[in-house]
Amino acid sequence: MTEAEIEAIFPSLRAGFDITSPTDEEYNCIAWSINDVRQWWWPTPHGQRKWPGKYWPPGVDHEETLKAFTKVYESLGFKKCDEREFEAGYDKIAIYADSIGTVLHAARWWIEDNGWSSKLGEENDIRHHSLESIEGASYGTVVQIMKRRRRQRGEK
Amino acid sequence: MPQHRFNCETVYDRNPSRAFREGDYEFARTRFRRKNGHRLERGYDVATHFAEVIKARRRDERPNNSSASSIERDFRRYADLWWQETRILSSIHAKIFNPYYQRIIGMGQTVLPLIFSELRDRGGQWYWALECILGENPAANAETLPEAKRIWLEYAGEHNYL
Repeated sequence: MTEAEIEAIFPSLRAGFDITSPTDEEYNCIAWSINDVRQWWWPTPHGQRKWPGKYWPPGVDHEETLKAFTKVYESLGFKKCDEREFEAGYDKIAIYADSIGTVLHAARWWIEDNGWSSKLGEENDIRHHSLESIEGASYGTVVQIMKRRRRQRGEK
Repeated sequence: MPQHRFNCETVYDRNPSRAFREGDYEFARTRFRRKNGHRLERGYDVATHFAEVIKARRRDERPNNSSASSIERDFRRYADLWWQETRILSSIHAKIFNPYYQRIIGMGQTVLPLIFSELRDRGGQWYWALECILGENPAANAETLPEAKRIWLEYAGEHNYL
């Protein structure tokens, strides 16, 4: 996507954002938030039916609910928190949902990102300066922040 | 004044297609007036009846006139709208239950070559549509998206869709 196309979808990004990758249909926002660029993490229609390239952790309901997505992140060591700001030593993710609680997107803040970072569906990764800048009709609003302490080198 | 014999097949205008183009009501009214040589008391009602019959006939004939180009035009339009509406979404539900995607599935086997060319050139989540239309899934055991894409495109080549 071009910058203009992205700004047309997310007008608040006109304040500033960067495209940080080419388009890639192999991974999505959830995968990007946990640094997996080989699979598309999302619950699938008809539950256990096999979808090529799609992954959803076993034992988690195939639902687009905050409860299901929270469980996924908790299984990966994340814990709920309230602070949106960067905290040294922690990776953070933000879950977006619509007004009835359907999860639509997730963004991440890792130290190397120097800001919030999002994978836009099948399109590009972008770095955006605030969580609010991609809120709206497409992704809804932020409903949950979670964080995970980053392991130091040599730490088990 | 010469006497005319009229029947249902009588053509009153030198260019009947033009008469059709000028409007169902006008055409029907013209026919009715001339048949009787003067204006009838219930001319408007009868003309309206003719207009409805002609309109219904045109409507019924429309699907039979669908040419390959109009099918392709509809497909491209639906595919573009689907792409625009869902390309930044992660939800598989949102992609495959999108109304434009559903319309494409509803177009049936006619659009298989177009779906395969779209899959080859632009990618996208076309696998569900292909399986729905064809009733089979040669990539059922594929582990990755590139593998599924390769298998489907090989299938398309073997069955002369590409």
